[in-house]
Amino acid sequence: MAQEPNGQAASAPRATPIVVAQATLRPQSELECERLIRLSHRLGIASATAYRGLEDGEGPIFLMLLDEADLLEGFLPELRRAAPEAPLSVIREEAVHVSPSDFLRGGVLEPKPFRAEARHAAWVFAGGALGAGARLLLEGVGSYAIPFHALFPFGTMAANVAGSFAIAIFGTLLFERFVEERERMFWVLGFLGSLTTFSSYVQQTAQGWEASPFLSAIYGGSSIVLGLLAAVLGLRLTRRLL
Amino acid sequence: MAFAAEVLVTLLGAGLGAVLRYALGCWVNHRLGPEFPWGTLAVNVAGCFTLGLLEGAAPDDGVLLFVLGKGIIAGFTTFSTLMLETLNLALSREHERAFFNVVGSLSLGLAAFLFGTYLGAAAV
Repeated sequence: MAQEPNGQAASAPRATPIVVAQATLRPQSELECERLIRLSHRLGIASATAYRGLEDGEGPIFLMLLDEADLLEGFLPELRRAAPEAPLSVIREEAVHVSPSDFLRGGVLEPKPFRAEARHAAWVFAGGALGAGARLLLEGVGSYAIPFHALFPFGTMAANVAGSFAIAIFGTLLFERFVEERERMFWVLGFLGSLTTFSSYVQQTAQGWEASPFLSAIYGGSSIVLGLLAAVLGLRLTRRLL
Repeated sequence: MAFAAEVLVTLLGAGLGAVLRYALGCWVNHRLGPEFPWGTLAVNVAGCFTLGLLEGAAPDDGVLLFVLGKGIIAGFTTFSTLMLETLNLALSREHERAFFNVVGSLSLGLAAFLFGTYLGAAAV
């Protein structure tokens, strides 16, 4: 990729011409845009930037991908597979970087350092306590109303499935519309995270196995299947209503 | 009245569990990258192991199992995030990762719970 410039005296700083390609995609939604950015990061594309067209603030979304031409063209088939309906155009140009030849590969994708923030933690705490209250209520009603609740804990299942439905709505809203960080902390990480529980689910499945392997398998399997279905439903419904 | 106090402690514990999940989950995700939701997996498996320890060590202490098992441990682990992250993986056409996320969480969670129960019972 890096070539010595022809016919030039070796001068400092050394100019390294590389062929850069820029691919522009038009994702059909912010969700698709988000997916493509995730994919771009996974592939290690040097730069993936999304921006909106100017019309009325609600113009089309563009996703600009930038990398060395050979590398980027190698990624194009996978991007096409990920978004077959998104229009795609590619330009190539020779750029002379007065910088190291691995300029595009260096440090671009370093993630931001993580710091838990105290004011976020307060919202997560409040949401978590309330979510657990809702779960206890559902479990309480279930064990009161359904005689064989110990064998097949409908209450926990209802909390898990309802939480999966709601979290898909929030997840979609996060991508498609603006949800404030504080709301995400309270509702998604706090309330829904605590309303649903994996440890009780595993405990019930393991202990139910001793009483009735059949019911336990049904409980274990249907929780997952219904949870996923509820999440798909929440996503579809939100995207339709938006 | 004692029951009301138990419920209150349970709820506060769940809030604390959610904060621990936020801190540990985000930290693990930060360290291990965005390709796979390792944070949720780590949190859920750790929660199952802890609940197993408790279950093995004090199988007859209903109050302790309720307050800790339904409080801090249940608030710490999460089912909804697991579902959302699995769905997101499937939508990104990463079907193997989505499949492993569900099957791996379930089998590792069960194994951690059973191992915890064994250790807890052996320790007492």
